[in-house]
Amino acid sequence: MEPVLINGTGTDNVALWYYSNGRIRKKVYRNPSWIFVEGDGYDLDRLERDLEETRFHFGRSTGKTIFGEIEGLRIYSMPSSIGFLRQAVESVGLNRKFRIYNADLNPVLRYVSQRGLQFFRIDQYTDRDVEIPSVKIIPKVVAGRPVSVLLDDIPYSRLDRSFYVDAADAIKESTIIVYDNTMNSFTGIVEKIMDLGYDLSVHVKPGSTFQSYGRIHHKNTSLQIYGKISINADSFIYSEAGLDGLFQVSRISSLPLEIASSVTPGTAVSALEMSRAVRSGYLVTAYKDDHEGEKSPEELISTDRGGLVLDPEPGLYDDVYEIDFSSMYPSIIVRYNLSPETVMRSGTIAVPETPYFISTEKRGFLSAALEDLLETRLRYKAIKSKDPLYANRDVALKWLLLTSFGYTGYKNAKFGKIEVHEAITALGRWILSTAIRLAREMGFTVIHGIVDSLWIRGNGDISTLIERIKLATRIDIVVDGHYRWIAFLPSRKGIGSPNSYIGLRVDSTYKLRGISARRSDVPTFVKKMQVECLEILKDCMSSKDIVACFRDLYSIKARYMAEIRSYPREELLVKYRITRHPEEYVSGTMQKEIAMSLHRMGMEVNPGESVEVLVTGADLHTADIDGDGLADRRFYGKLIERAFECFEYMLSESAKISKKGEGLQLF
Amino acid sequence: MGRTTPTARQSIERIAESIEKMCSLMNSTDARIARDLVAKGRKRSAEISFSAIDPETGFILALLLEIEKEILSIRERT
Repeated sequence: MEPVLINGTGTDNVALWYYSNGRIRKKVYRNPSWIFVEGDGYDLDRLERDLEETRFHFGRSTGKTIFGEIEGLRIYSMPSSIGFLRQAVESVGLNRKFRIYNADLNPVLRYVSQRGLQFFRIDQYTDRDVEIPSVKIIPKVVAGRPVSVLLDDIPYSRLDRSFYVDAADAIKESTIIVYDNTMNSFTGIVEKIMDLGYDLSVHVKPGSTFQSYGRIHHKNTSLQIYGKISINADSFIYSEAGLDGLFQVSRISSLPLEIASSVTPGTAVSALEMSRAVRSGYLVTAYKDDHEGEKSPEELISTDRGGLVLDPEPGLYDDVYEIDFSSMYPSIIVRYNLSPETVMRSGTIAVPETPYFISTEKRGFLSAALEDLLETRLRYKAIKSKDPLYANRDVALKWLLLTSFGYTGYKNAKFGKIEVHEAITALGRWILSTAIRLAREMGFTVIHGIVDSLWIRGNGDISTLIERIKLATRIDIVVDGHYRWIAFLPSRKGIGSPNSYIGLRVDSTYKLRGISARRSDVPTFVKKMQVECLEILKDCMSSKDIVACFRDLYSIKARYMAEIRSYPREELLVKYRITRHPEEYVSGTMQKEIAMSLHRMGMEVNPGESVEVLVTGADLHTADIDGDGLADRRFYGKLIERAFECFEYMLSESAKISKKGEGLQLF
Repeated sequence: MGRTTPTARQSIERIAESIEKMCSLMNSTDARIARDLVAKGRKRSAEISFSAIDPETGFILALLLEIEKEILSIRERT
């Protein structure tokens, strides 16, 4: 078997880990590097004079950016000194006279990309990854303490010496260690293993609390075990796509596996772009100063908009098709050649409702960089049902593609530009509105639409419509679902809610959005009630049949109401996210009481962490964290009522349809 | 990241909030009608957003459209 590159570590000396026939061989290479400085001739002369007094080698050179060739100074340095060198150059240039390139690239990524290497290389996209010995250690934490551990899916309910010995042996024999460190539970396990005399060299990276999109999050403390690839299970990519997905991200981004597991999909996309730039010989700017171009207020209002989202008329609809553009925004970037250097104020193709044009003179960097990613994702999407491996690769790539669009509007994105972001959303709106127009022309009625999906019904030929939309928009579109019936649920404001619906497909599977069964903060038994109700409705061939399920649905609800206190404790647990330290809460809330109770028990919960409790008195904010308290009937009853509202609505709508025949109130 | 200008939906919600304040001083019948009008205006926020029309103008037009639809429906029935 050909050795497969599975990891890279180090800075000035890069160690590449090759895996072959069950063994890892590490090869260490020197990793000399350089940065590129662009600036005025006079300032560069001065910088050269200053550099002559130092140990750094340098020389005048020509570099290539995505915007064109530039003249400047190439300064050679080992990667560990680049940070210092960059600071020195910036201070000579008074932080404004020079543009510095290739100064903040990950040393392993740069080494691998410059030499055309690839992590987890496969010849065919259908090939499997190498089987690397791995172990998964997942503690179950109750009230801040680990009560049991899953070691490679084998449960250990007693954390005694034999467990720690087994865990230590598993870590020793494995190359990849996947662990969950909720409330430092894995840190405790590692400490116990070391107490038993096992020699583990561990680097601890403290956890952190941060805010994103108005929500407080907590990242658990990470552990790096020397000589192993340590994967924190709270890694976003791992939790979504497992090790298969992480291998795929490492493969395309040139990030070592451990780093790929610790970054967001956005950072992985950024790494992919940087790797591509290095491979193509482009310089990568250390910081951007290409600000948003001038706009009139009218232009700002007309361009600063997102995707097109319709408000569906709440109600029940029969025989509905859902048609979806595949990876719409990345496809727009690729097919319409959108990139910071191709979107300008004059050019070949006008972007609708914006002052922008797209140049087609040359292939844009961003569109070329995302093309492989998009094509690979579409290939895996087509075969994802055949093997969980492909499904995981598809999910990982889907997330990267999703963030690739958002990253174009991020101020620090290396290859982002706000005008590109605006051009993408403008084209997205144009594409969806074109699809709506074509659907109507072909006899369909549009019920709902969200950015890249449309729900339509009618007697037109769906295959012909798909082909016409593809031809008109140059973006692939597929029939994602054919529903026997679909219920668009009303919002509290009385109008339709774009993301709240229940649809029964013709193959008797559901698509559910915005209901309790999909929420992570709803107790299991409430979800079970919804699922039971949905099972009853599976027999309804059309929306008018739903009303006949009246008795069955209400009897399910009544049973759940009557038996609230008979459900096992685990099914009644409600997840609360703690958003502050106990002393920082001002008003008395359930979160405050939970944080205070845990504090009294000697356990600290970090803001952003979640705790599952049994609610014993919602009005008084009392909850049972680890005992056998009695469930608050009123609180859980309200949750059942709320979860049942969607069925009440569907029953009433079905009754109307049965009485009057269908009435259409559509766009 | 982030928007520079409020979305059409956000602008319409601001209009709705102002009308809700008005409702607090109205008698219950008038307040109910006013809230019903707000619901009518909200119905077209997708179209208002898509057209980039001034949200206040769009909101009024959406109201007129819904009222016109109701008048037509009454005429058809009589």
